[in-house]
This record gives sequence, C-alpha cells and structure tokens, in this order.
Amino acid sequence: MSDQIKRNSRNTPRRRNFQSDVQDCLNILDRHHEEMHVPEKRSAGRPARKPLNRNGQPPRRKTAAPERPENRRPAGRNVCRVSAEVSGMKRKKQQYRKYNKVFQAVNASVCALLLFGIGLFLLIAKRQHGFIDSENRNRAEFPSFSVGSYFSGDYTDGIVRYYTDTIPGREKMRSAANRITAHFGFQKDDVSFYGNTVQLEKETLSEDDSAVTSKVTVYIATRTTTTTTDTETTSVSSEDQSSESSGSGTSSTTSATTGETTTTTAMTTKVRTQMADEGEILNNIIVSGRGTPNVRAMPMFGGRFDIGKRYAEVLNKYKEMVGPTVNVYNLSAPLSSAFYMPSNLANKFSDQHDCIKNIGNNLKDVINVDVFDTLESHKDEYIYYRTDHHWSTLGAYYAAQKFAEEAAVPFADLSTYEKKQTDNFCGTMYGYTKYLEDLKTYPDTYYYYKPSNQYSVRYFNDSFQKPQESTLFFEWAKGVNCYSTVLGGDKNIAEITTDVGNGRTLVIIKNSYGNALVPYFVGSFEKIYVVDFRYVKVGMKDFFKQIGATDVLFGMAISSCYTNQHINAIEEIMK
Amino acid sequence: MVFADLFFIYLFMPLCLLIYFLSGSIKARNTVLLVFSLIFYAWGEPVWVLMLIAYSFLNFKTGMLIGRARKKHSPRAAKRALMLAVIVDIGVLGIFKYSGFFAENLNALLPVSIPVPRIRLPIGISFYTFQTLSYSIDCYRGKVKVQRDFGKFLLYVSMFPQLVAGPIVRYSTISSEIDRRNTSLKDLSDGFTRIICGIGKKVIIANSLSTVVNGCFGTRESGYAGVGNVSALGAFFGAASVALWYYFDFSGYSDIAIGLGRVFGFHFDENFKYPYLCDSITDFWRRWHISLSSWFRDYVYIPLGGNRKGLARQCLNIMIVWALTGFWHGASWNFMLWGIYFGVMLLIEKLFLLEKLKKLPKAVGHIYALFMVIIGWGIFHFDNLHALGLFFRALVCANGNPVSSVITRSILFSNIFLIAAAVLLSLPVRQWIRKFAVKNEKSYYVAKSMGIVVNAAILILSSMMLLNNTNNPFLYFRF
Repeated sequence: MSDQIKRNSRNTPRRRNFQSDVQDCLNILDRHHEEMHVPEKRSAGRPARKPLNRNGQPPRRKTAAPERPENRRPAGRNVCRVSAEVSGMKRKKQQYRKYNKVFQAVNASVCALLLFGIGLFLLIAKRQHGFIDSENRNRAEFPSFSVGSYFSGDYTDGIVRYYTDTIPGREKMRSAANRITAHFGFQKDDVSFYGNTVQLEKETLSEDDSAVTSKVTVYIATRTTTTTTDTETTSVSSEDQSSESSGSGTSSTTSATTGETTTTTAMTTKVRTQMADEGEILNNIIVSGRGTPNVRAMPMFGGRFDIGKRYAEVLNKYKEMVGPTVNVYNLSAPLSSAFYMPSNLANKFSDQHDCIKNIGNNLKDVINVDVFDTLESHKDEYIYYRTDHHWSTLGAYYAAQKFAEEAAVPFADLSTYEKKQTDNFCGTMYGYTKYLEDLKTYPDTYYYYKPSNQYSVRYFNDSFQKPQESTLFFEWAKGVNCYSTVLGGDKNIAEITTDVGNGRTLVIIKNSYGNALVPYFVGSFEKIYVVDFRYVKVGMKDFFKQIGATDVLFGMAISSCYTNQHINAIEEIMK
Repeated sequence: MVFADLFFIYLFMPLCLLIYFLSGSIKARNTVLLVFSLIFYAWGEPVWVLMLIAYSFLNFKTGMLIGRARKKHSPRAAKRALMLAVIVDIGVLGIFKYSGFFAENLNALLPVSIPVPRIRLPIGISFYTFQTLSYSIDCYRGKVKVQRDFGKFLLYVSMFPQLVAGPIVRYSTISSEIDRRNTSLKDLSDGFTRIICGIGKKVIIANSLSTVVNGCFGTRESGYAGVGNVSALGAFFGAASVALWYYFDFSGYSDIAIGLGRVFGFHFDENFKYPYLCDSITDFWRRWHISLSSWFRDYVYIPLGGNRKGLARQCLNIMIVWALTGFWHGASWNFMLWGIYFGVMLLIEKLFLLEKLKKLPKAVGHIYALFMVIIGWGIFHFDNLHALGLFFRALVCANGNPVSSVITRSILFSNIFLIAAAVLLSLPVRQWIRKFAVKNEKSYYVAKSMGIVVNAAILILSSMMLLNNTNNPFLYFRF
C-alpha cells in the first residue's frame, strides 16, 4: 500500500467525464476573465463598471468575446465550445461566486445540525413505553439479546423497531405528518378511502344452491375430567338430565367426587405463527360524513365465495367430530358497511348477506344463524360504532336474540339488564384512518348492559390452566379500549357459570366480534366458555369433551370467515 | 439496515460521519468506513456477511492471480484466472438468486421432481457480484491496477453507500479515490443536499405513490387482487403511478448513495438523468439505471462482438444482453419478458424507427417513448403472470371492466397534487430554477437560501413520515 501512496497522482490517468470537461471549460474562462478584468471594489447596490478594453473603448454589450487572435481561447486539452448564453450565465455566476462558500457552509451546518442534533436528542431523550391508544397496541420493547435472535435477524429488527416506536411525541408528529399529507389531493363525493383499497369481483349467489336447513337438537353430553387444581370441580353425570342422551361414546368415567383431578394429557398444545389481526384484514376504510357529527368510518368487505365455502367445510368437519350429541352453529356478523354504505358506492363491494348465505349453503348439519335481516330492521338504532370497526353491544344483543331463538334457549329481554355507559369512545378507526381528526371530534358512546341474574367468571390462560376469578365487565376501560369492557381481552379462555339450570354448556369460538355476544348468553346457558381461535393453544376435540359442551357457536365477524389465515387457524385448533 | 429509516439517518449516519471526520489519515478513514460498512451489512444479514467477506477474498485472490499472470505476459494463465473469477461470481449469484427459479421451471417442463431450494436472497448480492465482476474483467483488460490490500478491496466491495441498492460502481471509478481523497466544503454541502433529496424522494413521494398503486391493483401479498376489476383508465393510471413510484424509489436510493459517497470524498457516476425526458427507448436507457446498462454494454455486449460482427449478430447480441438485463432484476419470467420487450423495442428503433422519429416533432417521440415505458413498467410490476394477463386485458376493457370507476377516480383525486408534484419533480426543475435565478443577484441569493430551507423542510417532513413504520416498502428484496 505504501508504494501506491508514494506514487504521484499524475501518473494515474485522470478520469475524464462530462463533469471534468465542463470544469475545464470553466477554468479556462476563469483565467480568461482574470486576464481581462480586475474586479474593482464596489459598494452595495451599484452595478460593477467594466473597465475599458484593449482598444480604449467601453466593453461591448454583447456577451460573446469578439473573435480576435488574442481572444481566441488557448488551444490545449479539453477545450469545448461554450455557447454565448452559457458563457454569459457563467460570467454572472462568477460575480456571485464569492458567496457560494458561505452558502455551502450554511447549508452543511444546517444539515449537520439537524442530523446530529436530532440524533443526539433521540439517543438521550427518555423513551415512551406502554400502550398506544390510537393504534390499539403496545409499543415495542427493547429486545433481549440471544445468539439465536441475533442470527435470525430478530434482534437487530427489534432494535430498529424499538428505536422508532418509542420516540417521544411520536403520535403527535404522525398526526401532524398526516395532516400535511392530507393535502396530497382533495376529497370528492364526500367519500374517502384509507388503506389499501381494492375492488373484488362481485359474485352472485346462484339460485340453485339450496339452503341446507338444520334443526337444533337438545342434547346434554357427559363430561369427562376437569383440569383445574382448584378444589371446585364440576361433574355432571348423564343421569341428572333426562331426555334422549344415548351414550356419547366416551367410556371414561365421570368423577362425582370433589378433590384434585388430573389434567388430561391428550390436550395438545399448539404454537401458532403470527396471524393477520382483524385490523390488517379490515385495511380498507370508507369514511362518509366528514365534518359532521355523523362521520362514520367503515371497514370495507371483499369476500370470495370459494373462501366462504372453505370456511363452511371446516365447520362441517367440526360437526363430524362432535357428532350428533352436540349442536354446532355459525353466526357470521356483518360489518357496518353492509348497512351504512353511501349511495354512490352501493353495489360496488361484495354483498355481505349473500356471503352469509353462501356459507349457509355449504354447511351440513350446522345451523347457520343469519342475523342480517334482524340487524337491518334495527339499522336506525345504534347498532354499529362510527369510530370503531366493531358492532355495538346493542347490535350484538339483537344478534344474540336471533341465536337464542335458533338454539331454543331462554333469553332475557334488554329491559332486564342494567344499562351503563362510558363516554368519549374513539375507537380503532382513528388509527386505521391515520388519525382522522373528525373521529376524535365526534366520538362514540360506549353503552353496555349488565345481566341481572347470578353468575361467576373465571379466566384460564390459553392452555386452559391457572384459572383466576374475575369479572365479566372491566368497567374501568376507556378510550380506544372501551370495546374490551366485556371480557377484557382475547387471550384468555373465559368460563362463566350461571344460575340457569338447563344443563347446556356453550362454547363460543370467536374473534373480537364474539365478545359482545357473551353477556346476553348469561341468561341462556348454564356454562359458557369463550375461546379465541387466534390465541387458544388447546385442541378443541378434547376441550369439548372435557367441559361437556352441548353447543358450539362460531361467532365472528364475516371478514374472518372469508380470510384464509383465520380459517386455517380455526382448522388447526380442531385436533 | 435500510437508508430510509430513522435509525440509519439519526444514529448510524451521524455516528459514522463523526468518527470518520475525527480520523486524520486516509488509512484511519478507510478503516472506519470498512468497519461501519460491515456493521451496516451485518445488521440485516448477520449470517451472510461472512459470505460477503469470503467471497471478496476469493475475488481478491483471483485478481492477484490475474495481475501476476499479466506481469509474466502469459495471457492464458490470466484468462484461466479470469474464468475462475467469473465462475465464482456468477455461480454465487446463480445459486442464491436463481436456483429456486431454475428448479421450479425444470420441474414444470421435464418429468423430474427436483427439490426446490428456498434460499433467502442475501441483500445486495446482485450489486456486489457485478462490482467484483467488473473488477476482475478490468484487471484482465489492464484497465485497472490490481488491488494488493485486502482491506481496501473489501472496502470497495462492501462500502455501505452502494452495497445494498447500487449504483453499480466500477472499481476503475474509485480506485484512485480509495487512496487519495478529500472532502471539500462543497462536497459536504452538495453531499448532504443529495442525501436529503434522496430521502425526500423515497419517503415523501415514492412511499405515498405505492399506496396509490396498491389502491389500483391490490398489494403483492394479495396476489394483486384488484387487477381483475380495475377500470381501463385506472389500469393505465396505475401503471403511470408505478412508473413514477419506481423512478422516485430507485433514484432516491441512488441519490442517497451518491450523496453519501460525496460526503466521504468519493465521486460516483450518475445513475439517473431525468429518464422521463426521453424521446425514444434508446434515449430512455441512456438515462435510466445508467450504471447497469453501461455495465452490460461493456462487459457483455462488447465481448459478444457488439456491432462488429455484422447486423444479424448485432441483433442477436442485443437480444441476449436485454434478456439478461431483465433477468438480473429478479428471478421471475416477467422480468425476462420485460428485458426482451425492451430489447425488441431497441432493435426496432435501431433498424428504422429512430430515423423516422427524427423527422417527426419531438413531442411524438416523447409520447411514444413514455407510453411504451409505462406499459413496460406494468410488465415489471406484476411478478405473477396471471395478474399480468389481467392487467393487459384491463387496459383494453377486456375484463368486462368499465372505462372509469368511482374507486379509481377517488384514489386519483385524493392524490392528485402528489402526482402532479411527482411529474414535475421528474423533470429537471433544479436546472430551470438555476437558469432563472442567475438573472440577477437578488434572485440568486434568494434561490440559494430557499434551497437550504427546503433541505431542512424535506428532512423534517420525511422524518415525521418515517415514524409510521408500516408503510416503507423495500423494493430491493429481490436484488
């Protein structure tokens, strides 16, 4: 290396390109000017007076130098013909060039100041932690180091994500940035789209598909063992309830005594990979009524019939698995865009009612609870939120009422519930629309209805272990979390024991739409188990047997029924 | 690590600059750059960084072999060493990038069932393999002196400004600057300006245009679910947005690379020269991704014979070169199709169209070229042949789709200023302002000052937009 440094730079050929040629021309012009003129000092405002030329005459107005032998540019390397206009431009530029360095210095300083200043601030500033209200998620934490996580790239990804997520003032700045980028265009037709808007082909339901009607049969199954280490056990033997239960096929004994029982080892735990959350499916948002108190943000829905058919087939497999002694139901909840679509967009998206019927047409022995017409008849009531992607507790009430009819269980009227409310509910749409301020200005009100009969609630973890007593309503929830007032969250398995002595045990396999249904079943079933297919880690086959399920309800938003990833998850937890 | 990210802009880059400029000698500065470049690459590829080092070492050694053979005036030994280098370089690229593609296609064509390797592509492999190839071939041709210091060679290969996203910098461009360079005030100021412009192009314009494109056609993950129903105008408008998106994304990254190089004292060649000013496809390729097309010209077209072996051979050479150029962009049939598409266009132009265009007004050539280029971007964008077919049918309303629809109108209007700005900025606005500003002193100073203010504004706005970590598409995952 030392001999290369020693070598004179003149020996290595200078790289020639367009830039170097122009620079050479400028250098020649520079020298030419210096020979011709001596710049005189001048006071501000007075234009420079050019000195007389060789012939004692004032310089000509024309910017091109006259073609005289003395003026001909020296021959040599890299001479290019510069046009008159360009040379004039260059001449003017020569006059300002003395300040170029100043501008460069200022520019470099400003940029360096910003880079280093903000960089330093971000390094030493106290980072934010915890929950982001408007995005309904927790901020990233600094990842813990492990050789595995480093080599998989997760560690470095985690650091970058942490760095960006925990910046103080992040949400305010994001919202400010979005206010600026909102000026990228203007809204037409009072409708704006957010997220990845895409139009799917509108399929029509064929008239030939006959609806397979299923009737509910009231069975009470036997329970096998219980899993808790608590002292409380529930054991029901088939003799207590009469009616037709003819041997469920299980040969294991029912334990009628108290005391510890063993956990069934047949419970298989499953580890699930990252799954698309509802927010990612509901990525297409339509907003109508901006600037008015009726502003409404709605998730769009696009569903392909073949995917709905696949969903129905998974439910059919469940029915086959549980056999004739357990009733299986499907309740696909429509999204708000089914009822509140602005007129200029009517018929542009998949028809949600047809999609529900499509599922029904492909179900076999599973009861399809079609709540569409029920909800439509109440659509002037507050059945969907405007700032959140969920249905309201009132909308869930009407859907639950329809379900109770089909399931032939008692149902408590709304008047028997205690009505409570939480104000200022600005839901998930605020984040999905990238902080549309109208939604914050005109938020929803969260009403919830507490049943009047006696019940107790326990929450198990997602492997159905470690139960803890708790409540059904988390009344301190506020802000974007209001919807989680019922059940608190989705990650636990909830068990509700009521004073309804009809021996029916309901399992709801759900996504977040199903949460709102649960309070209304407190007056209908003796026991309710709430399972979120996205998070549960036990296999449903043994779970149903263990708890003695008599009714299994798949209650979720219709978007999940038409999303492959969620259908896969429902199928996976079956074993 | 990616350039358009707060972590890079505010932590990695300032730290690197600080330590670089605190270092006195060139040797120290080179070491600093090398260390930071390896950290940069290892950040995203903790495993493949080792392969990068080993691969560089192999090329370093073959370079020395070539040098030794040339000194001994034995061309055959030199050629053997070159062949070795070429086999290693192309082999590495082929295995990592194309093995899955070949296996899949062999399985489809022949009655065999080869297991399809699913190797995740190490980032930047297409760039650094081409760079080392250029070094080896230039050594063989005697155009550059063999680099005898492995540290400096590794610096050339792994330098973080151009490692991940180009431009393809030839060794001959910077060989002297590795040993002697200085950062003047002008370099610093222009470099920073360039970097900030690149960031702005990528974050403010390109990222926003990507949502417009996804609105028309659907995302890649969804299999372009919307292309079957997009209206005809929407399809064309979407393709035009793709054209603008890719220009601002690629040229933005090139700007950051060139700016960073400038700050460190390196002078890379320009990679984009206002491509949408082109008035023919030939002109377009003199303005778009110049480092790539010139690489193929110097290292494939000319060795194949160029235009020195008759017209028929020239046409064949052109088609081979363009098929390979397309294929370089990704292991998928649509990329090769894209390359062949342009190869055919270039052939037609060379044979007779260019002369015809010269006789017509310039606007005709301009419109024709833009039209063909936009269609070409459609081919480039859809890496799923079924979706590509639907795209073409949508253009002519053969999908039963309307000419115009409310959704695409809505997307257009809610982004219309952005698109207008993008079109404007794809023209040489800077030069126009300069020409206008030089008219008198005051406007000159005002323009210069506004330039500084605009720099700061772009940086701040881009940083705010980067807070949203979910919309930052990285187009180079295929490279």
